[in-house]
Amino acid sequence: MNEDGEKKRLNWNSRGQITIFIIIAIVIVGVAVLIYFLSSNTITSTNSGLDTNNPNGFVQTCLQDEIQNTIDTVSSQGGSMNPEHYFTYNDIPIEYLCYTNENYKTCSVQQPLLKQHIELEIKAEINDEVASCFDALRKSYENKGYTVQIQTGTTKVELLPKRVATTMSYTLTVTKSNTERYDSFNIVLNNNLYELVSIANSIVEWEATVGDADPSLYMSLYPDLRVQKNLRDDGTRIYVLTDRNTEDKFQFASRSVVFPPGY
Amino acid sequence: MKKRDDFTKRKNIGMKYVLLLGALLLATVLLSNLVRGQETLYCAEKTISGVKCINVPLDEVNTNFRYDRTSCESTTYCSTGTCVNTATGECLPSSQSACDPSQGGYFYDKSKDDVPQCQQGCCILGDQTNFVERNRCDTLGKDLGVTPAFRSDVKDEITCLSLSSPDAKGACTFDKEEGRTCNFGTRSECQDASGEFHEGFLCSAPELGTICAKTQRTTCVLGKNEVYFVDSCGNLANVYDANKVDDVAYWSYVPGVQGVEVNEGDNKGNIGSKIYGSCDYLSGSTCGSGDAKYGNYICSDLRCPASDPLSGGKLRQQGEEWCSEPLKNFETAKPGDESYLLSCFNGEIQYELCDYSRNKLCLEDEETGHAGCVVNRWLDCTEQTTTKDCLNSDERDCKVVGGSSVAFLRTQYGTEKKLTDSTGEKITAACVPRYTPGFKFWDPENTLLDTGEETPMSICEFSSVVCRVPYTQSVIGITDWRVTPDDACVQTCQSVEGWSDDECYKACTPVCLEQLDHKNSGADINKSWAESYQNLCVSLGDCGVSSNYLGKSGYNAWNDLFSGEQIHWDTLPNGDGRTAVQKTSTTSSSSSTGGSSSSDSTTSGDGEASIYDEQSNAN
Repeated sequence: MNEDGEKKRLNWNSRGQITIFIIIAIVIVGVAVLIYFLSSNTITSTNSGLDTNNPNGFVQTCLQDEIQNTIDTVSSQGGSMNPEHYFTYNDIPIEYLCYTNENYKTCSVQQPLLKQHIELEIKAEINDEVASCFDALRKSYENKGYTVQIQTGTTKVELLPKRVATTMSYTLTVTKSNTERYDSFNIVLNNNLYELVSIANSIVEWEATVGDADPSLYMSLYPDLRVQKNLRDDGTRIYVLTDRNTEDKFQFASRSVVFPPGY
Repeated sequence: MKKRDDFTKRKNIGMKYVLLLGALLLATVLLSNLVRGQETLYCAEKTISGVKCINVPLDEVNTNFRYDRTSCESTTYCSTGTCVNTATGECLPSSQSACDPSQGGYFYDKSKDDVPQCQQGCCILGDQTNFVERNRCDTLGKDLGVTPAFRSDVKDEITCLSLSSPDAKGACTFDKEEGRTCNFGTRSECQDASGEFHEGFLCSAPELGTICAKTQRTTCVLGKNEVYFVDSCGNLANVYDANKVDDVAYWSYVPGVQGVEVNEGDNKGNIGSKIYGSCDYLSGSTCGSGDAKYGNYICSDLRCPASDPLSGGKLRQQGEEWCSEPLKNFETAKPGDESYLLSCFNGEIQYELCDYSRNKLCLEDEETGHAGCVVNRWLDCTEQTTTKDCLNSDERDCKVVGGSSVAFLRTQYGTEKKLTDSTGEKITAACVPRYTPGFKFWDPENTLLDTGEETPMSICEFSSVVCRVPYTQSVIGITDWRVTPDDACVQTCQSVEGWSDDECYKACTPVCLEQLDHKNSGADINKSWAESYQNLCVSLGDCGVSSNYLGKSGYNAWNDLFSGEQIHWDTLPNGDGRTAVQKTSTTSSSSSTGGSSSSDSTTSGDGEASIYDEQSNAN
C-alpha cells in the first residue's frame, strides 16, 4: 500500500512538473511574441514618425530615393526621362544630343541648354511625389495633434558642383501650443552630374564642329574621368562618362560625320 | 559526258536566271535610290521622331512645328549660329529653334568665334583653372564660391593648366582652453573661422606652439595625386618623404619657405617607391594604398601591365595609345577585319573601333606613343588617271594595281583606259584603295538601300570586265588563229585618242584569251589577266575571292568570277576545270565580282557575258 501510494505520488509529481514546464514554455513564447510585436510596432512608428522640429528631415527621407532614381535614369538616357529621338543601347533608350541623318556632315546640336533641360526633367518627374510627401507631412503633424497649413510653392532642381540641390518653396505652418513656420525645404544629394554635363557639352561641341571627339584628351585633363566611346554600325557613337571616384555616370548618343560603307 | 554537258547547260541557264534576277534587283535598288534622290526634302524644325532641324521628306515632318521646302541652312529658325546659355555661360553651336530663351538661351546668328562673350580664356578659380568662356568663368566662380580671374590672353588649355597657382596657405590657430589648436588652410578660410593666420607655416611648426605634432602617418587627398604627411591633429603637412619624417623644418613650413622643398624622387612619378610620395598622374602614378616605409600609402602604378590581353604583350604607359594592328596589315584587309584604337588610363585599357567599314583606320606613332583613327582616303582612287596622282599620299591612300583596269574607266570604244606612268607612258593598270575598304557584306540588301547612288555591289562592279575576243585565221586551215582587234574600236580609238595605227591596234587587241589555235576545244584563259582582275577585285573592297578575317572561305570560288563560252576552263588559275564548250568563231570571257564573304549575291556581273555572246566571226 505504501509502495503503491509512493508510486502514485511520484507519478502525480512528474505530471505536475510537465504541466509547469508547459506553462513556462507558453509564457516564454507569449513574451517573445509580445516583444516581437512591440518592437516591430516601435520600428513602424519610427519609420512613419516625424520629428516635429525637423519637417525638412521628413521631406528628405520621403523624397531622396525618388530624386536619386530620377537622376540615375536621366543620366543613363542622355538627360531625358522619356527620350524622343534615341538610340537603344543595352536596352536603354539614349537621347541623341547631336544628330544628322546625312553622311559626311557634322551634326546639329539637339539640346544646347542641357543643364536646364535636365533640371526641368528631374523637376517634372518628382513633382507628383513632392505633393505626396507634403501631404504625408500634413497627416503626420495632424496625427500628433497639430493644426497644419501648407502653402504650395514651386520646386526648383539645380545641378551644382558635386551635388544636386532640390529646393521646394512650400510654406508649412504648424500650430499646437505655439506656431512654427517653415518657408523652404531643401534636399541636397551628392552627385557629379554638374561636372559630367559640362564634359558632355564639350564633347557635343566637338561632335558638332569636327565630328569625332577624342576621349584620351579628356582623360588626360581630368584624372578622375573615364570616357568611353562606342561606335554602332549606323555611325552612332555612344559616349559614356564616368566619375572614377563616385561611379556617377552620364551617357548620350551622337551621330556626326558618318562614313557609310562603300561610296 | 552527255550528262556533264547537260549539267553545264543547266548550270549556265540557271546562272543566267540568277544574273537576270541580280540585274533586276540592282535595277530596282538603283531606281528606288534615284526616286529617293529626287524626293523633295523639307527643313523640319522638328520631325515626327523628335529630331530638331534636319532635312527630311514631308512625311517625316512634324507639321505642328515650322517647316519649309528648302534646306535648313536657308531658314532662319534652323540655320546654325551660337547659343549662349545665360545660366552657365557656355556657348554651343546650335540652331535658333533649339536655343530656347525661356530656358536661358540667347541666340547669335554668327559663329562662336565672332561672339565676344564666347571667347575662351583661362579661368583661374583658386587652386583650379579652367579653359572656358568669360561668362562661364563667372558662373563657375559663383557655383564654387570663389572669385574668378579670367585671362583672355591665354589661348590653349595646357598653358591654362600651368597657370594654376594655389592660394597662399598657412596655419590658422585658435586659442582654446585645451590649448592652441590649428587648422591648415587659406587666409580667407582662416578669417571666416576667426582664427590667427600664419602664412607659410604648417600646424606642426614648433614655434607656433600648437597642440599639433609631427607623425609618421600619411594620407591621400581627393583631387590630388601626391601622398601627404598628416600631423597629429589630422591636418595635411608636406608631401611624404621618408627621409624627412623627423625634419623639423619640413614639418614647419610649406615648400618655398625657409628653404623647404619637395623631393621629386625619380622624377618619373615614384611608382611603388617606399620613400617618396611625389606622384605624377601624367607619368603614371597617383596616391594609393601600399606599404611605404612610413604609413600605408605609396605612389601606385597607373600603367597597364603586359599581362593584360589587350596590351599586345607590352607594358603600356599611362596615356599611351596604340593600334590593334599596324596600318600596313589593312593593305590586304579581309571581310570583317577591323581597326581598333587602344589606350591606357588609370591602369585600364580602353578600346575604340575606328570604323565598321574601314573608312577610318588606326594610325600609330610608336615614337610618341600616340595613335588615332584617321580617315582612309580611298574614295577618289579610281578617278585618278596618272600614277603620280594615284600615289600622292598627301591627298589620298591609293595604290597602283597592274594588269587590269577599272571597268567604268573603259572608254566608249571598248579599249581600257590606262594610267599614265611617271615617264608619260600609258600602262594597263588601275588606281585602287591602298587600304581595302569594307562593306556591309553581312547585310548586302541594307547596304544597297543605305548608301544612295553608289553601293558596295556597284563598287565591286567596277572591276568587272567583258573581254570580247574576235579572232581570225588568215589562211583557212593553215595559219594560226589569232586575236584581232575590232575595226570599229580601232577607228574610234584613232579619232578619240589620235594615236597611231599600231598603238590603237595594240590597245584594241584583247589579252584575256590565248592559244586560239584550239578552235574546236576552247581558248585558254590568260592566267595573269585573270589574276590581275582577281587582285583588282579584292583591292576595291569586300569583293572577289577571299576568306574572312577568321580565315573562313567565302562563297565565291575562282570559277564564280569568270563566265563565258568557248573557254578552256582548266586553264583558269585556281579553277576546278570547268567543262569546255564548243567554240564558235568568237569567244568572250567575263570577269565579275561580288561580295566575297557571307553573301551569295555574287553573280550580278555575270549576265554581261550573254550580251556579248554570238559575235560575228572573221575568217
